Amino acid sequence: MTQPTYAPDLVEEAVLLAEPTAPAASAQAFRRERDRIYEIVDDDAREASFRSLHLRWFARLGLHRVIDQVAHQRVDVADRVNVSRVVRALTRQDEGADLVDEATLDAASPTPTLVLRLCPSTLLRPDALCTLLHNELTHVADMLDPAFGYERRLPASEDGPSADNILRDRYRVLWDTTIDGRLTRVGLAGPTERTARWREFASAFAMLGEGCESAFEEWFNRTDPTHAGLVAFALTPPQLANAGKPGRCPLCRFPVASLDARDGGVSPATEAVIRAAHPAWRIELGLCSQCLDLYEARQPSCA
Amino acid sequence: MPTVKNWQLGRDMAYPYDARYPERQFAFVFNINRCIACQSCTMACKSTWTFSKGQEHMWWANVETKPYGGYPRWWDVKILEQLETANPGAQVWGGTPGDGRLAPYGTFEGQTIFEAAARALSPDSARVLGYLPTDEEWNSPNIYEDNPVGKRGVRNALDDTGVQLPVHKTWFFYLARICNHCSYPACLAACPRKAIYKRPEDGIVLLDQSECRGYRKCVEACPYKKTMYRGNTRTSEKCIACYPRVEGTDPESNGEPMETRCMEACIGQIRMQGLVTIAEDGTWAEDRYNPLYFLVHVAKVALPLYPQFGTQPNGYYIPPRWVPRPYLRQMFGPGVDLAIENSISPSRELLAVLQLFRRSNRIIFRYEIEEGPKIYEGSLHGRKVELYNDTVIAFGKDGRELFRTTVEEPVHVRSNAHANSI
Amino acid sequence: MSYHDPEPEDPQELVGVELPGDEAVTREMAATFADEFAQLGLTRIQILSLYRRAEYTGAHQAWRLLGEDEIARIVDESLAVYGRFVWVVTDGPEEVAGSVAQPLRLVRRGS
Ligand code: SF4
Ligand code: SF4
Repeated sequence: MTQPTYAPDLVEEAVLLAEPTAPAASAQAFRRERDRIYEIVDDDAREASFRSLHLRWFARLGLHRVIDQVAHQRVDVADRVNVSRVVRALTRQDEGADLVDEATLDAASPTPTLVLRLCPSTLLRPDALCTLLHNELTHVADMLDPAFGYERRLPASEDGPSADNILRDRYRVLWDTTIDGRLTRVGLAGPTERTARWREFASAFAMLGEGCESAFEEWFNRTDPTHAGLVAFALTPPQLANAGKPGRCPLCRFPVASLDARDGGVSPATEAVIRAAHPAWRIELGLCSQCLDLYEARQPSCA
Repeated sequence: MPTVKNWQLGRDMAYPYDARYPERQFAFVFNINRCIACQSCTMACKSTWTFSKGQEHMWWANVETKPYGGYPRWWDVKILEQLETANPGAQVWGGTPGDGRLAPYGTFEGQTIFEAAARALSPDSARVLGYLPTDEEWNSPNIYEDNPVGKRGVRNALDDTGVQLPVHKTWFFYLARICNHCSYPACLAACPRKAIYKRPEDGIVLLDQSECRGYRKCVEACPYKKTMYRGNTRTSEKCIACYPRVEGTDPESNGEPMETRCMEACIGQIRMQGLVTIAEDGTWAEDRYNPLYFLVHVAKVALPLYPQFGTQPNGYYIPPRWVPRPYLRQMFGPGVDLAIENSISPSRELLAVLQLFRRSNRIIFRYEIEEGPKIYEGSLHGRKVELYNDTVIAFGKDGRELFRTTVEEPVHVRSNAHANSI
Repeated sequence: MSYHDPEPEDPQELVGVELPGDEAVTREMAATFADEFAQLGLTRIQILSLYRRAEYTGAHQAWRLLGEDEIARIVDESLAVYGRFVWVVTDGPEEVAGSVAQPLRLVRRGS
């Protein structure tokens, strides 16, 4: 992989955001130089000067450092992509890495291009950036690894969009679990990431009950996950394999993988609230976790 | 730091520059009780001033759904929080709202954004307490604020019906906003290049594009977040109060001062804009029959938006009747209770002045009421109502009559069952 | 594909936020719109359609919560006062040299 190229708007915004924390003398020098560029009459020349100024200060402020370091460490990705581009993400949700297939442009070298989408403010937070990059690049490494066998689409469900969402969520949680497991073992992620993944896993696979923790351990420790393996587990976790298709919550009628199984079950007060809205409902019928949360919240406060 | 008189706060206040007052001041009153969020004002402004490349995210005029909406997102919550952190538990009003022009809402005992900055920030980093909104905060002007989002997997669409969502029992209202052309502008105070100035003839606050070097200090400082940075020109821009119209130099205006585009376009007829005469001490000079003066100082139904910020904004709002009072007091100050009381059962004169809203696109400098006989007496919402066949006449700058509004009794009162038959 | 904790800055996360309010607040809001638009001289059908249209979220929410009959009652209450009269707006004469002033009468009808 060659040196990444940075989108000018990302570079400029990152430099402007970093300026207030730069030493006063360099901030003033930067401003003096930048102010002068406004005087250039020719549009193209002015634009070019702004770009080169911001790029120089981007380097001077070391805003590229983390990306360079991580790219250097990740030979597993670097060797398999062509060039990489770093562009501006508009929201934090939008941040991430993608592979853009530019094979059609040059059939002889079907190496994809790596595109990183980052918010300018993330460039100013080295630790968060490092974690994000390693995570994203591991996704990319999997996608590029023939042994992983990545496919863009997940199998569609007959149960409609909410079942598709459940599958997509479970797949994401599983994949992230294996990634943070792998990163933890090489010292690139820590207990914070592990706890976060465990929380997600426990909620996505609550139907596993007591087996949930051991399943998490197994996925967290797996060294060679495959796309097909992730999909298979996400589609029918072992406990459900015999139980046929996922059912529906008797209250909201949404398809769910499992009904709520938390300790303590439904309190009498909550039961009363549910019965007021659904007279035909009985406690043995169960309900999904979302409905339980909802009706618990609707209980008249007795404190 | 010099001190200036802030009549909305009922006291002197620190401000980075000495006081200098315009002859007249651009000001406006919005009657929130009528705003239906049709966004005609927003689009009128956008299609006039901010339709070019690089201005995509700019909405000089916007309407947001309060309490949870905002453009940029959470602008008011964020600055209120910064002030609270700077001066915990002490952002309060004292005294009592009174009749005078000098301290009509009592005295604000907390700190303004200028005063809090002097204490909380290192001297040269900023003169004004503020923050720079992020890209995503500028992203959704009134989008998703009161419409359910589209179906999952469908991008960039709103749900037409939202049938799957329960109807929430909630309260909200629409807050229409433009730059307040403040008497003590925070944007002006913060600009290191003095690129922002207040015009002596009408108090309109303008940002000189040729002087701006994109420091964005104004964006950070304006507590209402009404200056915006344009990436492709690398300068900031702000509402210019449609100044050619206000001056009467716009070709359409025929030499007569005209209200701004957002005022003219208002479907709900909530808006009135004018020019008020400023006294030497910076207060509004008594001008009893200027409709804005009447609404703010006589009827006391229109209140400044977040006066506690300290910029002495020139946008005034008739607060929404149905909203919990503590929220309104935070937003409009202690004058809220009286304002609501006076607007629920409007006085004879107020009812007449309310008829001046949006009957013309010329600026009304004075009104006159020719009293007529009483034509109705009854009650509404448990309060007595009396209606008179008064004629209210609006006059423009040079004393020319712009229009008159009067009441004519109908031939008969139709029965409810056939209310719309002819 | 990336993972994130719930993102407070994502506008979609706000969907479903419930704020405390009750029927009295809704009724007050509905009555306010009715008073205001009756004062402006809108007709009964015009005011009612404001509540019926989903685009006008505030008014429409009141309509969904209180029902058509109750909204009609609220509107009629305001119209019983402000809808009795016809507001007439007459433009002042234009000052165009040489022409005879022709006042324009705009009539806004009550109910
Ligand atoms: S509202 Fe903001 S931009 Fe407008 S004059 Fe006041 S401080 Fe300046
Ligand atoms: S045009 Fe008037 S009624 Fe419509 S959103 Fe704007 S202020 Fe509200």
